[in-house]
Amino acid sequence: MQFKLNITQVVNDMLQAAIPHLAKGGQQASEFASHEFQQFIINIEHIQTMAEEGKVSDEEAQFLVDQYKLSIKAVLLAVEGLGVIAAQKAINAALDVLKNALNAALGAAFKSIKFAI
Amino acid sequence: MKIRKLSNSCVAALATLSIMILASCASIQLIAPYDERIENGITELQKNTTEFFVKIERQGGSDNNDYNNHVEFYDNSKVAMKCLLIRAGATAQNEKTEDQISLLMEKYESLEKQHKTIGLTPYTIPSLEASFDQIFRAILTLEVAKKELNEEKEGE
Repeated sequence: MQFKLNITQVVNDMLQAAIPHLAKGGQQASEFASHEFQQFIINIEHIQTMAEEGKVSDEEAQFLVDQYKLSIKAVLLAVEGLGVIAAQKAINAALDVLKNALNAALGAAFKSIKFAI
Repeated sequence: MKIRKLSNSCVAALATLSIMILASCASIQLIAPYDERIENGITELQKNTTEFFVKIERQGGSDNNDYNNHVEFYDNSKVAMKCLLIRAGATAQNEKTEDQISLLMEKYESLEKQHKTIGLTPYTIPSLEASFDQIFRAILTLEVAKKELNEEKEGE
């Protein structure tokens, strides 16, 4: 019976399968975060301008800033979630490679068994 | 006869081992699956909230005396939020969406308090609308990403 599994090759293949998912997921999370943080800064600056011009009271300005704080916390949670999704995709892609390699190795091992029935 | 027994037990052991190894290589799940009801619920809330802000903006703001005319909006939003929060909490590994919905709930509570005590002046409306849009976008971005994950899995 022969169980041939090239560990180095499998590890390399697993990495190759995982990396694109991490890269794509990372890019998606980064683009989303960058856009939302920019919006956050623009909006906070706008509130500051309105307060300086007397269009909104200090109390109203604080209320608006607090509203944005809650929104940006939800943005951060979304970014975290996108990261988790990317990690899940990467791990599963790597596991898939491992599963196929094991299947192939086990298949070859079973083929060489001579059943003595 | 002995050889046959040995060979059979060897095959059985290998089969068990292979099943165990393959089972350990099954896919993992780190985040809750996509939930259509969450996406639809948030989209509906977003629509109602936008309608509310458009109405307030059109009437040139809303002071605390006018608050009573909008109680229905706050009540409906609270009910919808509670339903979504319970729904999200009922699914394992859904803490991020659950926390996002809790933050949205906090926003409605803060908005209602402001409306009830001070009122909503015209200059605050665009900023408020933009801040609500941002949180809706955040919740939907995560939910849509989960949807794509589900679709990819089904496609395999």
